[in-house]
Amino acid sequence: MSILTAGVDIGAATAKTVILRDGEILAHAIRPTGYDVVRAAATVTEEAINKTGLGIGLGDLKYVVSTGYGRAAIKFANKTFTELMCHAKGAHFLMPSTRFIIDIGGQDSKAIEVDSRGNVVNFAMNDKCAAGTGRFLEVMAHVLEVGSIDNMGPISLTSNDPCEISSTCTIFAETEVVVLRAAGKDRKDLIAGVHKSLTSRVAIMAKAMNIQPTAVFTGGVAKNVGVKKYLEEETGMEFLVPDEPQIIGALGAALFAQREVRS
Amino acid sequence: MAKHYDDLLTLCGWEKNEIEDERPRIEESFRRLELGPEDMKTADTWVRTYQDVSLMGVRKLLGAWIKELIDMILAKDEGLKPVYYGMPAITGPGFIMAGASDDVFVCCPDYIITQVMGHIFNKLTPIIVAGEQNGMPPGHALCSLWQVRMGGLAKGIIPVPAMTVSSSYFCDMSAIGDTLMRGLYGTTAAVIDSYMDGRWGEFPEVRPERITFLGEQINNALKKAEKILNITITPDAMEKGTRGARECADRIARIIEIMRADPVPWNANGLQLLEGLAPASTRRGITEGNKALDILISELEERVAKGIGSPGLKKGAPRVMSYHLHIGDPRCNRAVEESGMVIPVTVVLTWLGGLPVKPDKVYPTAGENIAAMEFLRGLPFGSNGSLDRFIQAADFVGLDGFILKTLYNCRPAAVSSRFGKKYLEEKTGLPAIMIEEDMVDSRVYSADYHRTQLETFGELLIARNAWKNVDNYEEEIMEFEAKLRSSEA
Amino acid sequence: MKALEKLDSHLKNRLNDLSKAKGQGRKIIGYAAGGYLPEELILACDAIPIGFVQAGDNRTLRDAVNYTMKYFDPFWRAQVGLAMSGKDPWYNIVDFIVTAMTDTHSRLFATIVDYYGASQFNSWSFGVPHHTKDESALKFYLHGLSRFKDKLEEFTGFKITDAKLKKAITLCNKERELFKEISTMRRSKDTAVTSRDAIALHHGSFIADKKVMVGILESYIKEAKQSAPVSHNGRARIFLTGSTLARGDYKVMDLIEAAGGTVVMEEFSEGIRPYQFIVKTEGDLMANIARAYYMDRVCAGWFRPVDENLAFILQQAKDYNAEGVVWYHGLYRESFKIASHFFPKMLKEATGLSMLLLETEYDKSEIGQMTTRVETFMESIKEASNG
Repeated sequence: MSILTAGVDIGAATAKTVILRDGEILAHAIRPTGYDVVRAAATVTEEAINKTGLGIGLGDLKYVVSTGYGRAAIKFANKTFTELMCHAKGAHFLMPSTRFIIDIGGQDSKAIEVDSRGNVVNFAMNDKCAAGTGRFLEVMAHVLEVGSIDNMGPISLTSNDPCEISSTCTIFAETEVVVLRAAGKDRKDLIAGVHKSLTSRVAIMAKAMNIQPTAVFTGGVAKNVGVKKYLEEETGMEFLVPDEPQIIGALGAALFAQREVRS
Repeated sequence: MAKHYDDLLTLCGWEKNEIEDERPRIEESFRRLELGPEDMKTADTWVRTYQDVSLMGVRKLLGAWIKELIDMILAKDEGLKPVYYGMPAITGPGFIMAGASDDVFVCCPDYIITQVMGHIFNKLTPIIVAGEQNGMPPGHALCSLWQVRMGGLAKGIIPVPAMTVSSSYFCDMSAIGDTLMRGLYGTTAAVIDSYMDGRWGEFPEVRPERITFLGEQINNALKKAEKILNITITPDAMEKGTRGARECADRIARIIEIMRADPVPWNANGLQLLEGLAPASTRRGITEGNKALDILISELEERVAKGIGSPGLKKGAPRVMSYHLHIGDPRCNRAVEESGMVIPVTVVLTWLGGLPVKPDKVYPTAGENIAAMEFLRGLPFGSNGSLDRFIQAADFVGLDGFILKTLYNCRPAAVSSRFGKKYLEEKTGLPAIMIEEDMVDSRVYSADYHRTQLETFGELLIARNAWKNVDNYEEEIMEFEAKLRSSEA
Repeated sequence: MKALEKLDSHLKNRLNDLSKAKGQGRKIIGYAAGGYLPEELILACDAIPIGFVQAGDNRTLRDAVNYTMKYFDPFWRAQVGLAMSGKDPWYNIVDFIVTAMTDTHSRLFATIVDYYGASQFNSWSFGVPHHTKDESALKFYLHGLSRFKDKLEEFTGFKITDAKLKKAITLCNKERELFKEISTMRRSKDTAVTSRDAIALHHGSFIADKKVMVGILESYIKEAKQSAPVSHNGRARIFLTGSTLARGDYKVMDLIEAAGGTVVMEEFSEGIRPYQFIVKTEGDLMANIARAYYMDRVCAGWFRPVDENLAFILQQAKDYNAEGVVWYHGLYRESFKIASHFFPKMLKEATGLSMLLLETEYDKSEIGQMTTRVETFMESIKEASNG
């Protein structure tokens, strides 16, 4: 008999749900978390369930695991796992050769070493600082008036002379960018500088660990081609990006749910 | 007639007659602390939630801390000469001064206020904020214990002391804080200096000149205290003074032995009550504290004999060692246990007697004997001394990992903020996590801030232990996941 | 001044000179800042001392992130970054790094270099006590120097004899005397000596050849005496003090001058060579060095108690006719942070002067805020002097 499980990842910026049936990804959904994490979890899970086309409801899910910063608030979850474990699980499931993961989300960034079984053997998270996270890009996208944040990455690749942005703090970096803009720096160079600055923060954290192939880049920021490029330059390692890098945590949670059912 | 604080004090091990006898003192202290009926309810919930109050020893220990706080607040009013020292304290000189005269009240106000107002009453923040406005501004990573002291002085909770004693070699805060106090309140300080320049690989060998220097500094500080306080430190005073600390150290050693059991019979917040007992108090805190520990030891031994753990702590839970438990907020310590781990020992407890040490000779002066002991205990030796104590403890109590704290509020502890993890992992093969924390002020570094890292570390250790304990666990999981990938489940 | 041109030229070629010296078998001993590492010992074993006082670029802090958390003084984090990154030519050229550890921030540097750098550097460290003018502390300091002396002899293969040590002491005393003379000249309102010159000489002295440096100082003094005084008319006279004035960190000087001020004197615990003492050349030379460096020198800002240091600053502010004090320290340097809380009141009561506090993390974004503060301070001084 088929077993349906779900993983729900409530991040600072987006909520994600993945529905699995016996190891097959049936559907997933992503939506902004907003203010009400409980409602976001329910809504995104309902959306994913509807996308399965099976005519099922929440009660048909045998087991639900929640993860992300809002995981404790999800009452319909049977268990919680941290997002580090879930990202490791999810990435390793898709690519069993995964040994190193960088995840950059809305409010934090993580580096994870995994072994051949997909177990976490070492990890690091950014210190109390937004400068190595998606929030940094959001702030800068607003300051530099690029419209959609999705434009940031492609524009950054057009620069040949990225600006040096030295501030370690998002707020002071914003000041620095404003000053550079007033000094006449080209916008694409500023955008490239912003990307370099973000990746340098993350790379510093990663380089303290054992970066080895296959290295995987997950989280919403992984969709940014500029960050990927600079990350690879800084670390000297090629990073693979899954087709849907934002849902890896939710996928890992759903896999943990499958495991819980089996055990 | 019963008052609003009776139930709480009873919960914290006070006898009825003690409450009756001390009503005026209790009420005056609580007035200065701005503690009212609502605070008693909060404290009641707080204590029952975070402390193992089924143990009478724990309740008595809590009571001992409250008594020390009341005695400290009223010391000057009652004609005593308060002497304050800072953390980490060299316990010996303080005890010796206290032993020399019943008129001298020696304590570490920073720790006592934090322990009681943080752990029991959950009302530490206003005092920290007052300290921030009294010479110790926020955002500069200053010692939050010192912020508590300056806040306590600013709010009139604690009296201006007759003198201060700073063991100024561990950190730069202690003596500069004394200078601030002199500038603001005219206090006089005795400085006990040394240097933490033990080189890598040296511990536990201590260069003779280190013992000589620190010993002389201690002896000189005692001489200065004699002049300022108008006391005479006789050999009897030394013996009387140091007895309490020795007895406490013996009890801590016994408790750490007991904590080798699985499941651990006592929780982290309880263990934390011991971390400041000898360093911070010389009066009822330590005398009644020692009695409380006797009761507690019997209770813990009984639990171990029956195979019972502290409520909520499971058999087989991963055992981790911390540098120092959170003094001001029990939620931060509980977060470790909620993440599936248990804490049987901390580095500070090894320093205080948890792992007994014995110098290889007896020196001619009290100062040198104290100095020799201090260096062997690890903390004042140098960064490597503390780290090597982690390793000794790992062997002694049986550990699965280490939780190292890169302390925002403590520069000397933060020196090992990166290499500590590397060093311990290489030396022991056990995983270590390094988390940023303020061990007094949890406003910024809250339990929730740490939860993701702690839970992940707990999961990592649980999985690691599972692989060790279950023969075919790895193969089962790999087979299962391979089937998932090929959708043949 | 020609002397400064000569210094500039000498420093431009210094790395080449050091490479040549290495090729001839001489050892280059790098030492950390703080002023408690006697160069005399290094010179006496025919080695070359290089003082690490460079900092000011925020990027070096990034290089330190994997070795230390950020809540340490940026000067010392910069030293960690410079030493461990392999990017700094001065750290790269030395054969040996020694730290006379002073407060926790310098201990951070020494501990990291000793631990991580074991495969990269030869290193050594010893603790300098902090108890002001205490004889038992002096004894401990002497122990540290003696152990360092043994280590130097072992490393260089040269025995440090009394004759060599006396020669080195004489040379270093000469340098100190010349710096003192330059400082004394600055007490006068009619002097050709500028703060920029003085700081350039101080900073240059940490990496220049000692004999060349003495020659440059002598030339500078001669030229200064013969030159027309630099006019500071209308400029507020500022006494600049704090934790570290690093080689490469001149932004505060720039801001003060741009805002209409002029720095008439500096007093820093790091980055400015201590020169107020002389080492005796008769008797037990090691004991003389220890006493001079520890007891005769005005204690640094992390000493306990710190009164002597603060009293010295007060006196200097008076001696140099300052109209205001700018206190500039690295973020998270607690000794200086707390002293900066109560010192302004002391300063006001003793001299009537006001103090401006500036804190740095070598971050470019600080400039805007610092500019506003400095300009406001200069304006207030001007208003006060206009009555």
